[in-house]
Amino acid sequence: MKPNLDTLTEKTQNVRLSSAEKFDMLQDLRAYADTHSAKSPYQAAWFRSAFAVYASAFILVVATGATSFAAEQALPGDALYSIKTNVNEGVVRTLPLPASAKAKVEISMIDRRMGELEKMIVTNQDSPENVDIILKKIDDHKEEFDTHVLALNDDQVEGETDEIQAELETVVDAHIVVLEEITSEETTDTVDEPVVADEPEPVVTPSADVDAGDDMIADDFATASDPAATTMMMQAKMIEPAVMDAPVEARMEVRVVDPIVEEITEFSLTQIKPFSKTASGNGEIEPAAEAERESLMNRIFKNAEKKLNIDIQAFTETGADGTGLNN
Amino acid sequence: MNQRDIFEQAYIDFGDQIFRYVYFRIFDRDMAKDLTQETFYKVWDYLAKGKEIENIKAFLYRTAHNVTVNAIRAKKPVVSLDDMHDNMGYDAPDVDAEQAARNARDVHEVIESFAILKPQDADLMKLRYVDGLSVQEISSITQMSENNISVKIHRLIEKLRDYHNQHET
Repeated sequence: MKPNLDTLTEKTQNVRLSSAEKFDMLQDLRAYADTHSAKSPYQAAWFRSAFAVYASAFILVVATGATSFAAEQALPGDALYSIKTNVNEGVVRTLPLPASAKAKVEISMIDRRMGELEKMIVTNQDSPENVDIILKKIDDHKEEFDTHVLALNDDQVEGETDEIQAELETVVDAHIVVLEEITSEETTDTVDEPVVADEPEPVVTPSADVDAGDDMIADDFATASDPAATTMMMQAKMIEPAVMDAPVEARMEVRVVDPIVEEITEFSLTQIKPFSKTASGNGEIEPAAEAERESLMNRIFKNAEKKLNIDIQAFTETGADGTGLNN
Repeated sequence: MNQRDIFEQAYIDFGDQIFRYVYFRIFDRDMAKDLTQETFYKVWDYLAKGKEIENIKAFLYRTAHNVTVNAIRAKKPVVSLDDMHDNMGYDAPDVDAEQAARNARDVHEVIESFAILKPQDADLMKLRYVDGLSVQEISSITQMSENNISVKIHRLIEKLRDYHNQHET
């Protein structure tokens, strides 16, 4: 048969989808488009991994000099720490990434900060100043994270926001477990240690009024943070030494807790002892240190409320000297 | 026009053509529907990445070609004439059913005559005469020059004519 090409196209026109088929397929395509939302052109597969971005930028940075590399191991208080956070990490944070990748970068930063916190506690570098630096940076990272997540919401990237939030919670939860483990070990060690009974130097301060009521006991107990202060309070408030020799749990029961402390008993991050060294050597609490302590408490409590959702068992201030109070 | 509008308009404008393109290469209506849908999925995936498509029609045909080739490689479709007739792929609410069947038979017979050609040449003929695309459109899809396509199609028609002349005599 000789093919008649001229009419062929016309004859094929009846090969088509029926109206019902066409409508059904359109619905399917719309559903597909809804579940596979449009993304920014920057979100090529490689860029979706914040880790890959960070790793590459990290490689770039360390390639530029040994200083930057050495800074990667620095902790707060080290000279190179500012290079680590401001230069090395600053490069990553200034990259023109999509909001999701930027949010993931902030998660990796929070991961690093909490890792540093653990390292500081283990190596006894957890001075209030250093802990303060870490907490402030975690706050900053969380604020940046929230900003990027809001941007994601604005872009109506469904599902991605939940995924990123879950990623943050996973990272933080993992560190909380480690922190609780570390601090509980420290607490146990502390309780088991014999009481160091330094000969107390009698301290007379205006606040150490023997005739004052029980409210004074509450204030002083909550704020005292070294052996001298403990001794001072034992003398001033006539607390029985037997109580001070008891395990920390027992001591907690007889202690009258500062209202601020009571307020945050639900937050276990306080076990990292950020306020353990705020008292002056003579047992008096410096007003500045007290203000700093309250500020830190509030910040941690705020953190707990807004992001971590952590189940905190107790707030304890247990000193390394075994006095049962702060060291 | 945002990406979503472009996508839906492309389906409204070219859905049937893509379905036809796929159908006349695999001769299986259900499979043609699936592959047509898959073609549009892939186009959306591309658009959803924020990429621009200069010629949506050509892009659809190229995608449909790739999807169809992959499907054929994965599972060789049945293309016997009986199967073709049993599974015409026609929906002709506005055409006389008998006429539609005759059309289908004619089309299938012509397409069968393309069997003497190389697969890529047969595909070129289908693009021109089954899908009804212009030389310019075929050029956009195949990335061949328009002149090359025109010359090639002319020679393929001559080849088919010679073949049928020889077999009729």
